[in-house]
Amino acid sequence: MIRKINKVLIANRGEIAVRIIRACREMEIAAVAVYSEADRNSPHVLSADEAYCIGPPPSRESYLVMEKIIDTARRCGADAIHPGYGFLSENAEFAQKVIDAGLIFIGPKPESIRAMGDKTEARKLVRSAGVPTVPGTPDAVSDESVVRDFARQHGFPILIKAAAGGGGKGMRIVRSSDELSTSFSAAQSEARSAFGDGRVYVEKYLDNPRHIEFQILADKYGNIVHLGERECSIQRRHQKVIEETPSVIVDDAMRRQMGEMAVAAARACSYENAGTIECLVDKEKNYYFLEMNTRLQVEHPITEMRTGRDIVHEQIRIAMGGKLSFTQEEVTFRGHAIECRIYAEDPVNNFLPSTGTITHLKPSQGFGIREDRGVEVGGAISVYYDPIISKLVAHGETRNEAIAKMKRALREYEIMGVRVNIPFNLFVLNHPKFVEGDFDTHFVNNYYRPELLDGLNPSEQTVAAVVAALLEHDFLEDITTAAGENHTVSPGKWKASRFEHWR
Amino acid sequence: MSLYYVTIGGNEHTVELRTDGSILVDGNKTPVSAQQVDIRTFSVLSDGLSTRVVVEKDEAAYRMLLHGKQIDAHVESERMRLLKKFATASESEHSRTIIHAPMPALVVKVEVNVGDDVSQGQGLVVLEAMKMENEIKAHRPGKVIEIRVTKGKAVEKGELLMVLE
Repeated sequence: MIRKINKVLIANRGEIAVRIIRACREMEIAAVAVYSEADRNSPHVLSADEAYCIGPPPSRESYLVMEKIIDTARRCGADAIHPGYGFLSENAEFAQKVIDAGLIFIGPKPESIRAMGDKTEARKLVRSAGVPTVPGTPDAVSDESVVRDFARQHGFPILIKAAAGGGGKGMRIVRSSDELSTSFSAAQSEARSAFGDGRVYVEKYLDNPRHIEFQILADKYGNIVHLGERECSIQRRHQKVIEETPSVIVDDAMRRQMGEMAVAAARACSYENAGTIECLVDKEKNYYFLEMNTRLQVEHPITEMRTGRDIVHEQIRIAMGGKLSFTQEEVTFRGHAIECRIYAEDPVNNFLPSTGTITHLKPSQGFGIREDRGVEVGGAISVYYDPIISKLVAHGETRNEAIAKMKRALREYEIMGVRVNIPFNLFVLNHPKFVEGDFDTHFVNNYYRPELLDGLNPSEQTVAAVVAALLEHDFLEDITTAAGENHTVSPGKWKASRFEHWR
Repeated sequence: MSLYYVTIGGNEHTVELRTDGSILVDGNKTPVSAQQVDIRTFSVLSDGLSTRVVVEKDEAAYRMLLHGKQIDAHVESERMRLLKKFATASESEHSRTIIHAPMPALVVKVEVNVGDDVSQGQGLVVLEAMKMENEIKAHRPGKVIEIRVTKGKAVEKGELLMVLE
């Protein structure tokens, strides 16, 4: 039963919207962008076939308003909606409304989203399918004394987590009973403001785990395959920054075993489309199901690079009612892929988001480098949305080759107008523990200090000092001669030979 | 001859631009060929060493990017430095600390009241930006003498939040 899709509305923005538009183009499907008033000039609007405004900048008034999005899809004659990640991507009610409007939701069935969206229910469900889980409260808790009882039984540290959550929001680690009250209420209020749902649950916190996840693809006919793992242990503020595949600790046997577990978890909620099974892995390589992300994942490109399979194409094919175009045996892996997320944030100042307008951008190029980006020069990084600028992916035959390519690409990347975490990414890639593969989710806490970021070496200092002095000298001369022209780095007086006098 | 003091990451360098066109950095003659490649990009060849530098002027500093490293270079001419010396000599001691918003954000919680004594590291205000809560802490002990924000207020980057004495 094939239902052809001719036009897709992408209910998202930024790099992921651009990524999906590209896939639509390749499949000769028309792509429709929706945008908030802040995004009129954004790349996803400029590269789409059609684009419609859906409201003011705050997401709650635009990208999260189901009715506006569905109404736009209906009016422009789209057959399907792709939700991307974030926003409405894991909202079962939205998926249902899309279907009720006679459109195709490019993603899982609403029941599956609901089953996996409630983290406590999800763990019960997969446990019954034989998938191992971390000890935790079976239900969401609203009473502090339940949390205290749990901590008494399993010991600190414990983790308080939003039932509806993801991305580290509404999450608190509690290491002692004095911190419990504050953390419990903070997690609840953060969960309420981020997801409109203040319920939280509690689980045993594994010290020093790795975060390893499996990409799965499932069609409507019960065929489910996995595309291998992604190692996502390098995180700051509970958010992934660097991901790679394969993981240095996963060998063929473990991959086969965990892959079967991932497929079983997906089958437990009769899953369709692309999804990700997130696991924690302890020092003894025991793995525990953490949660399932019922959507396309930020870090999906590394899996694409290593398997040669285009996950967004597969998503669309599956949504049309197509069978998976390959079997598990046909999934082959080649080389090693690493992703570094480039965020507008200050690695020196506690990774605080850095807002501003991009004034200069020269992305990296060359063999083995892929970039997925949704911002251009003139674009703003605002408080309204996630501060991700770009995803840089390096693919090489070996892990060392991929690291070398990534370091080269990060040094080559030029961006001005906001602070970015490129120096932090370079710090990680240069760190002996990372290079050896000996790390866990506490890498940043254990090893990172802003003072350790590479400063300028003496010859670079000399160059920088000379350039600064020449510009200041020029500036002061301008003031004395032209009296008070507004000084920038003088776009107006750009002249190659400007400093010819000096040698 | 013009003399400049350039501070980069805590290191101060002197750059002498001589009328004959030669450049001395920290007293050493440094042969340099600098070209402006586009609005913000400069190419510097120094002793055969080729460096691509992207520069932007940001309020008080030249913000530069080279080899993936972003730094701020603060430049002071010799004349400016002299003027400053005279100015600071006459300025009185001020022991107030102004707490600014480090980013555009929403005030989620004000944790202190006017008149409170706060210790170093104590939380003052909780801000939310991009759905993450960030607590602004006191850098030093003091007394809260003024609070300019309330819960629910949206603040701009650099906006005054409170004053400690």
